[in-house]
Amino acid sequence: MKSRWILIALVAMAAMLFSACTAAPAAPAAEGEAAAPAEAGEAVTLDTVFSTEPPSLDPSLGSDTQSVWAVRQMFMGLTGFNEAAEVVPSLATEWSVSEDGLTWTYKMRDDVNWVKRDADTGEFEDLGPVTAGDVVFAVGRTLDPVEASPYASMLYMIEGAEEFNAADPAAENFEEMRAAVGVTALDDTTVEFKLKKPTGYFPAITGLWITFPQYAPAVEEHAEQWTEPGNIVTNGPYTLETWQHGAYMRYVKNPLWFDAANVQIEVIQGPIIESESTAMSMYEANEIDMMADPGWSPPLPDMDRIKADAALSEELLIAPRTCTYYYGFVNAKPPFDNPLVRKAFAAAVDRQSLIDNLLKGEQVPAHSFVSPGNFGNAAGDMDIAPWMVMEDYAAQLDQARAWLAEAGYPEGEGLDVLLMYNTSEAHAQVAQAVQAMWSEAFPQATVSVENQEWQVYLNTLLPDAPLEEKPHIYRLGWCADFPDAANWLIGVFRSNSDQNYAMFNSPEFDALVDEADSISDPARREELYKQAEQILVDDVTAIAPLYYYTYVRLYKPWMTNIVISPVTGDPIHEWTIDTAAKAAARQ
Amino acid sequence: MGDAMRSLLHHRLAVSSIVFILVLALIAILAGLINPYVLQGYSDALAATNQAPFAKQTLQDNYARPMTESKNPDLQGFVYYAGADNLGRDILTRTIYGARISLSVALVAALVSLIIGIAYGLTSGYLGGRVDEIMMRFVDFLYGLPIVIVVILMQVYFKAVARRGDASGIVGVILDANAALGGMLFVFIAIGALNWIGMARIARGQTLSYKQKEFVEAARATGSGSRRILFSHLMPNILGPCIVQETLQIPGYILLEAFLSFIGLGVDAPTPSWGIMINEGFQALRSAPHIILVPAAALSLTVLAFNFLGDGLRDAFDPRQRGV
Repeated sequence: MKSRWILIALVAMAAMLFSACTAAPAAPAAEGEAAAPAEAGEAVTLDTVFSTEPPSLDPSLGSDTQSVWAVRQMFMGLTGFNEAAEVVPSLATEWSVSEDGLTWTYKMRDDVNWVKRDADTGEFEDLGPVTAGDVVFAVGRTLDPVEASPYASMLYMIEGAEEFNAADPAAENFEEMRAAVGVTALDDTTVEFKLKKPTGYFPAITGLWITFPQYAPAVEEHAEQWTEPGNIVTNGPYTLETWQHGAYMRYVKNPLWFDAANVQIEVIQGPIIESESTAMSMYEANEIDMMADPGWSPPLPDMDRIKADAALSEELLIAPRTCTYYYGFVNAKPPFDNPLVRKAFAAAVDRQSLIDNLLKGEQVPAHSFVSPGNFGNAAGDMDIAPWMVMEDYAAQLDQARAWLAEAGYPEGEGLDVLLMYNTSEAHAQVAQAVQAMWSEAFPQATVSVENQEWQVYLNTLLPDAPLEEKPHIYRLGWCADFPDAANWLIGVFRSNSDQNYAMFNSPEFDALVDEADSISDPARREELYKQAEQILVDDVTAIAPLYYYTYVRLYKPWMTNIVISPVTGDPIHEWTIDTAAKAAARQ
Repeated sequence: MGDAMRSLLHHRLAVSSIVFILVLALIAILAGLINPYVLQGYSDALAATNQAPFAKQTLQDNYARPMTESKNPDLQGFVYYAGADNLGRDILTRTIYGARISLSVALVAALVSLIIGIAYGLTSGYLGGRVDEIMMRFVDFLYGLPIVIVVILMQVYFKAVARRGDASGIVGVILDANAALGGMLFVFIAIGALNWIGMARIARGQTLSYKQKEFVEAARATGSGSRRILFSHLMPNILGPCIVQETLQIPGYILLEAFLSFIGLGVDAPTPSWGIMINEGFQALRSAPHIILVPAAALSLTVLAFNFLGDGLRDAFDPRQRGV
């Protein structure tokens, strides 16, 4: 009798083991299916997953790719970007600049209306046209110190913007300062910006989500709840229907949009899944249509199989992307206040091996910060930090060891270094690979890795967060908000930037980028940006760029028209789906 | 006792479990000498880069299938018998080192739980009355604490302090102890804090029933003090059932450690815990299923072995259960 019980126990254990492995993928799949039985005659649906809860759907407050993706589906701004990264008309039909380059005037179209979807009835309510006043309201709100927008400093070229953003809300002249911000509605369809200094790329700034118009009554009535379904008022091709926090999101087509007749996809929906391997199994089970923003890229462990598989390799899309993956050094934290230590650690990474053996997405080893595809990038200039990307890695390693010895830490003796990254399977693999590279390069050094959730991580890294809480080295990527080096060098590493987590502070660098910002001669600007890169990456090595991103994505064959935007937030309203093929595959 | 021992030795599964556990313990202790790198003669290659065998990674070899040779020029001819993981680390080596974690968790957690639990339960049961009432309500209170959340908070707090690098006093002592244990202190605390309460209840129950027995009365009548009654009369009687119970709980400790490591709250990377290895293998399950296989098998076998051993012990010590 006894042996039979043991057998049963063994079988039960095995069953538990396997159910433990499959339970995770099964649960969300069931949810996705319950919400969307994809049958003929149903709404045309783009099924995806969301890689994380968007931190904010408020155009003034979003700062990460997940939030910006959502804002770009729901709102439209004065300008937009086409596939070639050029600025194109969107809400504005035309714009002009004054002789001195300081006054920009935008003419807006009058057929775009504010729309609110009633959460109970599902009715769409037309709340009247989007006016120049809505743009003025939104810009003022982004700059309002009470809102504390993390991107406010991107608008500092506007007259009075920096002063208002830095003002004390209790000050007597606070409302006067708000009024002094250089953006005015000349009439309902004309908006005028006055700038402090000529900024040649200003039309790109009005394509940033932080300048997108907002509907003041909704914001004022619901305060921070205004981005919830039923409260939110939008003017873009889609609007928010459902947001189960931490679980599920669903966007629906705005039938009252001026170009609604040309929008085929009617629903974008999916669960929030924080595991890329789970998303991948959903993709292979035909439960989702893509492995791309706002979901996940294909997981690193699956890349070899995807490339070898006849069907999956056809669905794989690899294209250059204007992003750079880098490890930043907290320049203020000893021993990384010593440039030689920073250079040694930046050099002791075999970038090509990382790409060939781990990432496998045709990324390009980086030796500068601004990625290819941006105006003013120095990626092709091999005078900048060539020692990061040498053909002969052994020689590069010797150089790294020599620098560290020169800094007073032969073989890394006495170094205890913490590398931190935000929680993700892919970042963890890169971090552990780099950790091993450093351990091999500097045998006496101790390198530990640690991860934090995205929100916590950003708070740890904030320039004014306590230095002792910070790691020595942190991981971040930067993607172009608009394809110009100004967005990268001024936006991230100018000494007063909120994104300057490296705490890099060089007056010489600031002077170079400021000069480049205030002139319009392209050749001269390019030259100045190169000099700035030379300081940032080569001379003092505030950061160690690792690679320039590529888009690595999977799209099901029934995704028939994919338009990829050079900035975050693909225009899904331009995409099409072959619904018959999709339904057949999901049978 | 002789009877019990004989009974245990007749329990074939229990005996094989004991052998399995002893061999595993031996492997764990000798991991530094019998891992594949040493056995295949590559220890010099590792020593040159000052890397522990379980942390040695060769990116070119990631996802290497079982029985393939390394592509690393420094490790020419080295065979990955169980394959390599996502970072090109030898899975067999990591599994062997992982046994250290699981077995030390089993040992330490069992000892901690046994010592605290018995002392607490004995005191509570023997003193009885109001003291018993208060002590047991405290145990009830501990049952209600969400212990995993407490452990997460502790981890976050101590890691933040460690990063500051100016820890002094008790916090500094705790951090040093954690470093000395390879980052396992909090796993021990989590498991110890969670499990002595059950043991305390069993010990108390046993004490309550034995303290009414005639031999205790007799001891008291002949003038024995409390200490003598506790340690010479009560303790030997409750020890047997408590040890049996504890052995049956060991699989739970091992699984809890694996679970904590699986969700990233266990030992620090790159120390290999089976839980971490299973997590890494799980991520690559679709493309490289061999990664999860060896650590999962090791974990299941170890847990089964401790279960069978506990069963055997229970049967041996409790004649009423024999043959059921």
